[in-house]
Amino acid sequence: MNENEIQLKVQALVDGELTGREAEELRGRLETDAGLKEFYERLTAVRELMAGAELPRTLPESGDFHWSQISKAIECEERQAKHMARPASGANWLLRWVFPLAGIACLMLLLTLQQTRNPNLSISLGSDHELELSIDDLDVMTFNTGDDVMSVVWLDYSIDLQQDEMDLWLD
Amino acid sequence: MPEEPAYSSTEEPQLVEWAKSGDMQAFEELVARYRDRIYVRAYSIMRNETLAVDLSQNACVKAWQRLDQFHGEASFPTWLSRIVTNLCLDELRRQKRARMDSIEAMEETTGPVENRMEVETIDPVEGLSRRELRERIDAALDKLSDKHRTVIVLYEFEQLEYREIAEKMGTSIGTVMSRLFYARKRMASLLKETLKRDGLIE
Amino acid sequence: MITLSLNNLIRRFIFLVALLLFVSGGFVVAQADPITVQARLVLGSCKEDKSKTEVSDTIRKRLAKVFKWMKYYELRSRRLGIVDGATKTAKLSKTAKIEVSNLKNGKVAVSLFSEGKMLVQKSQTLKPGSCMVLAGESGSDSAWFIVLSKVK
Repeated sequence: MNENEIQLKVQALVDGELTGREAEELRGRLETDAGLKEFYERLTAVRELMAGAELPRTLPESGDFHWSQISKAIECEERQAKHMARPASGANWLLRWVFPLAGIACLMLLLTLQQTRNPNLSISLGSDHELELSIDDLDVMTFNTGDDVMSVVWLDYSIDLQQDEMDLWLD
Repeated sequence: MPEEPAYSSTEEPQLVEWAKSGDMQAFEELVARYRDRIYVRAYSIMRNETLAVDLSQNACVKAWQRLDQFHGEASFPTWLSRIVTNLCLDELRRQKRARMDSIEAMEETTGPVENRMEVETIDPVEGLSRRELRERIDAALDKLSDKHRTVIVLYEFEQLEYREIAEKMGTSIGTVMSRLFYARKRMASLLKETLKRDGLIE
Repeated sequence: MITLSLNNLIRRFIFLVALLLFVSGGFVVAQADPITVQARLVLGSCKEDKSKTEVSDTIRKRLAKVFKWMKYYELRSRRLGIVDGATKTAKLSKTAKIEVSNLKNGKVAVSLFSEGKMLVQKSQTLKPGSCMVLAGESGSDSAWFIVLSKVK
């Protein structure tokens, strides 16, 4: 178990999420490992600091106005619900059931075809852009700027450029 | 003609029962009692006044629609709070593509670069009122990424377990633990900075 | 006389074949116009560093519009001329390199490698004036960017 895993276990102990034998073993270890015990105490202090520390706030609009918005929304939803609950004629039934079901069937077909065609890690961003990740658990965020002059792929991957510059060498 | 009940002095369980049977005024009283509380929760997560107000209103509408699902397993304000939390998480997911998370979002994963994760010591500060401390904590929360702030809010304020947080955030318990750990580390560091800057600690 | 005509014919034939080959070869060359891609390694940072060169105003404005860092420094720049169907490699830092493939009609595929392993491959058409950016965190409070654009 590496240091980080131990620290997460200590956190779980502080949070009461570690139970049974694991908790006992860790408590035993805290007795003999001064560094770990100090870490446990620090984490406990942070947790105690945060407990009940949510800053109280007042809704920035009057109670009457707030309620008027809510009651209007409720009335609107209820009107919609009544409209939907009306018995459907034959044509309506067709519109309400057959077409949506057909739509779902088409979507399922499309998804199945899409899956068999594309490799798991490839992401289609549009007719022109394609992205493929080589590492399963690499998080990525992609987007284009509104004016389309820049397409961005943000990777959850750190490259320490400062370190690289210090050990600089080129082909 | 029967007298109208005095809603403002009626106990919560009774108000809930009346609201469940369709009494809108009883529900209005419940909303009035807890509107600040659910607004605070929405704001803690969203950090945007307009959004927090909208989501608080939506939460009340949803609560009215789902009153028949409330059976008293938790208190009514806790139940309301859960509704607004879920709405906030949905909104964050919707916004995710448009947002750039801050540094903390990437730093949580440990590797060769960050193996030792020190947690700062925060000593109790004399002369700092509970309100002042809460304000500083609130300011520090503002500097966290959405993911890290959400996990801290859900754990510390909403008091959910790791498993519940994982379900709500659509992630694993391990990820929740990492995020929570990182968020605490960052909060301690930010708090220490602000206390040092103001000369309250050395 | 007949022989001369035959020789002439053969010469003309050879000349025509050579001309044809020359022309078709030239046509092939014309079709295989290389694409020139500029790849820049950029450091995004909140700190001023006078020892580093800032990126051009155009790039700075584009990055600053989206990202939160105050300063953008160009650490390395490579210009790659790549013919149709070919791939070129550019080492941008000690650990990071890119491979750029010309997929024809202005479309390129860019593969990013770090410490020898491929992280991602992105394909798109690089239109004049637009750029492709691969990015991520770099240490604390800074970020790496690889900005690729087509050179006219």
